[in-house]
Amino acid sequence: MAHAVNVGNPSNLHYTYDLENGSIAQIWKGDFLNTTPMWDSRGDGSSRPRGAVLYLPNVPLMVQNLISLEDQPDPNANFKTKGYVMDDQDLPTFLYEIYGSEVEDKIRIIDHKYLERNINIKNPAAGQKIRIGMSSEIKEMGDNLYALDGKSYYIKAVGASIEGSGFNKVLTLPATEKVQYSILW
Amino acid sequence: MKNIFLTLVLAGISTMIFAQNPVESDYYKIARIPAPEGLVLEVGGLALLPNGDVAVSTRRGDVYIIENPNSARPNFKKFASGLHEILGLTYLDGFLYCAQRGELTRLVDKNGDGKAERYETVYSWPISGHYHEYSYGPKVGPDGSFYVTGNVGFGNTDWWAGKSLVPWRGWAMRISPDGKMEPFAAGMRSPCGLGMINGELFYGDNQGDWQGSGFISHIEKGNFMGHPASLKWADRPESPVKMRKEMVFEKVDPRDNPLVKPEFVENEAKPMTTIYEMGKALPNMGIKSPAVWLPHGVLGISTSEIIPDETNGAFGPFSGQLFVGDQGMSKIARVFLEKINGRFQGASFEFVSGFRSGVLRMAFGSDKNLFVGGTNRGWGSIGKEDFGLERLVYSGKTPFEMKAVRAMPDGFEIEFTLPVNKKLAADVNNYEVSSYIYKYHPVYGSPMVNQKENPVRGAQVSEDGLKVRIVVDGLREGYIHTIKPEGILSNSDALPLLHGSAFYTLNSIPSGPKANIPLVTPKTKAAKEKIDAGQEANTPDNQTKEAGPKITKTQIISDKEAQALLTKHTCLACHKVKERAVGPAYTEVAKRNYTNAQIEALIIQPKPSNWPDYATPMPPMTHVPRADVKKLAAWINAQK
Repeated sequence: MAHAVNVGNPSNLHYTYDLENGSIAQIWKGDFLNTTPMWDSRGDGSSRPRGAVLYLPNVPLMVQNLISLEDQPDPNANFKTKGYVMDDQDLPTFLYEIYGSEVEDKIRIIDHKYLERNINIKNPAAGQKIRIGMSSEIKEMGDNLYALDGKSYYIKAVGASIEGSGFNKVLTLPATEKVQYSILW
Repeated sequence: MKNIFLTLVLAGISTMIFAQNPVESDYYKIARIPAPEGLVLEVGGLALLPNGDVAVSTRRGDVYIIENPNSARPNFKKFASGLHEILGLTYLDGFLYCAQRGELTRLVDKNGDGKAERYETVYSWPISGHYHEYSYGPKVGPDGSFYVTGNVGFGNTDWWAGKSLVPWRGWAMRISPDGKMEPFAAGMRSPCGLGMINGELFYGDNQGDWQGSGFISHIEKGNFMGHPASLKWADRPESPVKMRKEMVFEKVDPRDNPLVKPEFVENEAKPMTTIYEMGKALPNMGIKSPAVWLPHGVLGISTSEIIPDETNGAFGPFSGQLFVGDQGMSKIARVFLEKINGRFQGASFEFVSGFRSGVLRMAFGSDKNLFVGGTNRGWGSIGKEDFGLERLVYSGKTPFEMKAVRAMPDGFEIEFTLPVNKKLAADVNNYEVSSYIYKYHPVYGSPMVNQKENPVRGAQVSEDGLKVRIVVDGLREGYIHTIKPEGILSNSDALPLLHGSAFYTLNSIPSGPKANIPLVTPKTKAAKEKIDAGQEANTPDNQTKEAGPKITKTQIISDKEAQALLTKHTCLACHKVKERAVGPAYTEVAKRNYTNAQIEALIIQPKPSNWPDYATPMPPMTHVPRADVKKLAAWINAQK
């Protein structure tokens, strides 16, 4: 990842947002960042999470081709990052354009425990899907809860469906004006 | 009675000393700006705000607003944070714009609480993630578009070779206010310094592979500035650049071997060329050789910001000229530009040195003094502090300097800041002019090559004593002409020049009338130096001494003589005697227990691999006369 934002939180639950595709690329628990690799002498330009990391599929969130593992959005999507807006708690909401829609992507830590993601999409194009999870194994646990990667983490979403087959199972939500789900780890 | 007499004599002497040895700080003083304790202010960008506050961006990714920046008690407020290595900051119409590694960002404080809450991506460009992909800017063009530049990355095994790993590294990009990017020009290596001069885009580059020395160049759309790595993307449909890699490699062997670092070869298989000659050989390819070279080790080693003096005299006598920062040498050079036959060229001069860290960014304050921001982390600098923010304050006194040097059909016109002693100025023997150039090749840096003396055949002083027209033999287009009016003094106080050299990059000799003055033959250099030759001179007296006991020649020169030679041959640009600077301290070199002969060889053909802890490799110092190399090697070895 060359163009990303690391968001730290006093709850010691942190995440990396990839500005090149609008994905949450990783989540970690513990201290925030080790910036020594970046700031010692010339540095190598990178910083590292300090804690146990959950790597998530670093792929575009909103797609037409569900099982594509390309990390870059489809060129026809005209993906364009627009930056982010800080709230009065100094927490960012990310902004981008994709398939002609404006997207606001707000990720917050709830009760120091899990990530809640609220996505607002202006004029969503018909038939778009939001990939909220990808794994070779997605298990429905009831109560809108899904276990991924052999229960290494969970996604909670109302109205989600499991699509794809084999090693490429995808948990999706339709791209409506408001999309909400949570990542529990 | 005795006491009074002594006092008078002392007073006389001290006045004389002061009058004869003016120093930079008599005219321009460097003042530190007090910053909060613990703040790591590695300045990457500086911008004046309309209310007189100054915005500073840092390499660690913060932006601070400094209130009352001209006062003894400035106040720092954090405006933005969490950005990535901000190496440029500009204020435009209510917003701050900055270049991060991967994007041009607009920082918006909508609610006016002194803190940005919107971090808007104006345009995001590709980066591979290589640590050296620094991005610089923006500067704003007359049409409101933003110009940013991207540093090349480097190879893995061939860490010395500049590489454009993803599109538009080594390019200047033009970005419209609504975020459309147009690749603008190619051929950059380390384009850390941008400047917008009367609506024209300039940039400065650093010595390195394919670039013999630092310089500033005028950039127009489609130009190629010299480093071929960027040409990897030149055939893309959106590229305006016509130059191609193969055209470079046809003239110069790239020696592109990931296992062998190209080193200086005196006589290569293909004839030597220069970037200027490349432009002549390929006239329609947009090749742009430097407008003004900044001689390596004299005016700099790593060119940074370019800023025009638009103070109308409030900052001294150089209104309309440019100041060019240098990171490695912690100094600022001055450039006089002129346009001859449609091309920019001009003279570079020393201006002020001695900043506390590497000079990276400059901005004029509301009081027309200059803010200077520095950093040296990972890069090294002569100023030994890791970072710093300073002000350069003009005293109001006029230094005696060459204000400008203009090209003439048969020589140069030197303009001084103060009237000169006309008798001295009319004597051709009080000038020395010589010329040389740097090679265009894949080697890191270049020695000064094709050196030649240019006899001064005539000197005519203007009525007001402010200008001297000199007639010079053997002017060469595409060469740097070093002009030293060494014997000139100011008329009223008999001051010597504060800085004695001008370096004129002669891209084009103007047409027009020649100076209508009688030409004379100057004394040869040897004749001029004869007086100082002492026992070295071939006089009958000295010849008779041959019979007597020989003075041993292994004698080590005095520290004073060594300092003079080290300065003359630009060694002190990168070295200090007892401290690490850009290169190792001489005391450290001495500890390696080389023989004198080994040190001599290493001066002429350095082996940077001997010093892996140092970021900047030393170029071959082939321009230093062998006799001086010998003296210096012996002296260095004695610094144990």
